[in-house]
Amino acid sequence: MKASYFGPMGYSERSKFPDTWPIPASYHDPKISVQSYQEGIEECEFAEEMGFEWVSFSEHHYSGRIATGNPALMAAAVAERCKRVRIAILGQLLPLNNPVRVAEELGMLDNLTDGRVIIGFLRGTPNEDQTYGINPNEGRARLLEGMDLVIKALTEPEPFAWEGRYYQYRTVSVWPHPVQQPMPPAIVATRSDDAVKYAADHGLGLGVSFIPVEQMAKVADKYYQWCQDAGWEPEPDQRVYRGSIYLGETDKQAQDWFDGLRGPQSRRRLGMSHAVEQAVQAARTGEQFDLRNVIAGSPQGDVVGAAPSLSFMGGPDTVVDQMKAFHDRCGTGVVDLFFQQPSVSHKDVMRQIELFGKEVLPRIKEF
Amino acid sequence: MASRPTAAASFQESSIEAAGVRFRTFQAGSGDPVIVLDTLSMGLTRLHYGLAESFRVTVLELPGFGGPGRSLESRTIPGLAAITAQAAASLDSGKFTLVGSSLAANVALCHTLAAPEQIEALVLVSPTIIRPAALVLSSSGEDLGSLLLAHPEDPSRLATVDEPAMTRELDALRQLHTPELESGVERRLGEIQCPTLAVFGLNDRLAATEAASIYRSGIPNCHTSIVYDAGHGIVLERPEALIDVVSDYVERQETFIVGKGAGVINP
Repeated sequence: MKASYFGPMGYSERSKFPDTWPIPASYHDPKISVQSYQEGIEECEFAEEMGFEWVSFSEHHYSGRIATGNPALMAAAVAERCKRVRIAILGQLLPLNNPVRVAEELGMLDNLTDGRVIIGFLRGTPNEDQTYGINPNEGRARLLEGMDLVIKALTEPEPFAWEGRYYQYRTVSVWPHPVQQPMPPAIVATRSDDAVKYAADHGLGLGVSFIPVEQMAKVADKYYQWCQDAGWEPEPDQRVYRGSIYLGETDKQAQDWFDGLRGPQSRRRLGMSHAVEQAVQAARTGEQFDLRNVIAGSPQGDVVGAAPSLSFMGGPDTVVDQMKAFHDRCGTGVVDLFFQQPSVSHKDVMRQIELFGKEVLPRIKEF
Repeated sequence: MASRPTAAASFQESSIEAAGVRFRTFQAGSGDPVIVLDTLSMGLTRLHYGLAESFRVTVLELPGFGGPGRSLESRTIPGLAAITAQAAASLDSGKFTLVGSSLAANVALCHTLAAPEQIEALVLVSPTIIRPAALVLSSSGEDLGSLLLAHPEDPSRLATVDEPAMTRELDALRQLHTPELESGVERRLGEIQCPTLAVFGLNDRLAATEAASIYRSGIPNCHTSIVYDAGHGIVLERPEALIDVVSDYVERQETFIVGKGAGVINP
């Protein structure tokens, strides 16, 4: 099993953010922001030094918790400092973006890194649908078409036109093409059946985020079956799980940290009002939504609750066991780890990276 | 696909003779002349009607596919192209845009090589003359779906297909293809001087995926277009997209790459 360091580049004072999305720019202090990016890059460098084999970035908008609205831009900056690790974009939100632009960024990045890029395709969480005003009901179809278009744009040797359902381009001719031929390894970050099947049918990897091992196993089983139906078997690097982690020196230290969290931060989820979340979910599934059915001032009119649980928490022995469960039950070959929990400082992240590199990584590499 | 009865009424059937062969023709529309070579194994399609909204369209039926009692007079693609060139000349259309799909695209390509002086522009929809994929065919409708469609799970897309005629066409695609024909045509692509558009369904199982780039690099003024979510029978699954790109190309040729859609939301 390999380890990937997920670089969210979180704003260091993110614990002061309100439980809403988007986070107003009034919370942004340029000095703190600049320092936060430098600390985030430093974490990536240290992860590489401690033996992580990938660093990853993902696209999220309008928030300092994961401050990488353009993950390719962030990846390019980190790639200049980290010269060995694979640079994984897990991923770009295809429904929000021009897929040709995405292909251009990936092509450039694979050249800038001399062929170290790993591609990730992602639809995104419901709040992301609001970023550029796409219709949430079109997100799934835009993702499926976008993946086909990015792959074509990265692999077609001659200019071509594209007549899609959502995208029409009369001249596509991405320059540069990737260093890795025919294209960099690609992972579909999803747990939806149609996108999982797409990954299996196209020989692509699967990435799943933040769900418990039992749920992950169900998704993975479908994926492996569909891969087998398509006549191939995914490599370990094509089986990715992104999880949040808090690594303590001991189980008790980790538990003490978690117990201290049980305040407003642990309630954070998407951060949209209940009405907006209902409307987005209804649009995603094609259902009708009438705002007048939401009673103003009701508890449900406020910010949604539900605490996200950590995927991995404890001392080194416990975390190794937790990761082994993902390996054994889900076939996971790469764990992409989100260390920057809301109230965890840069110093504590660096401590955890060191501890992980010394006490956990050598053992999970044996899986 | 839903039919368009009002447009269907505008096509007038007649026939012509050329090189001793009798051709059915269907004519509609006004404007610049467009000749569509077709086996009519899908009947008159939405592409024909769509083109007839903007152009003077003559559908020239390739003999031997569309109905009982007719036999294929020439059993080679260049042979068919030679007689379609004579038939087109007899239509007295002046220079025209030549359109063909599938087998008829292969004929249209050879027609252009044989009679370049006739051709204003060339549109090849799902041509298979270069790098065809392996064609394994039986006569069942299920096989037709898997060969023609990106989504064979929706057999309703085949509702307009004349299955015996389509089976004959697919048989001919296989039988009339030879390595010598392919290499000869590929070698001569550079001779095609007219603007050319080659259109492929992204999920075409009868044309190899690298075929598009061979046309693009081989023909001096060639554009290729990939139609998403479509198989070999593009008009069966994405008729609007096919009509859009072909009509736009016939009208604007290589300048069809210049955007013309309005971006203003609230002027």
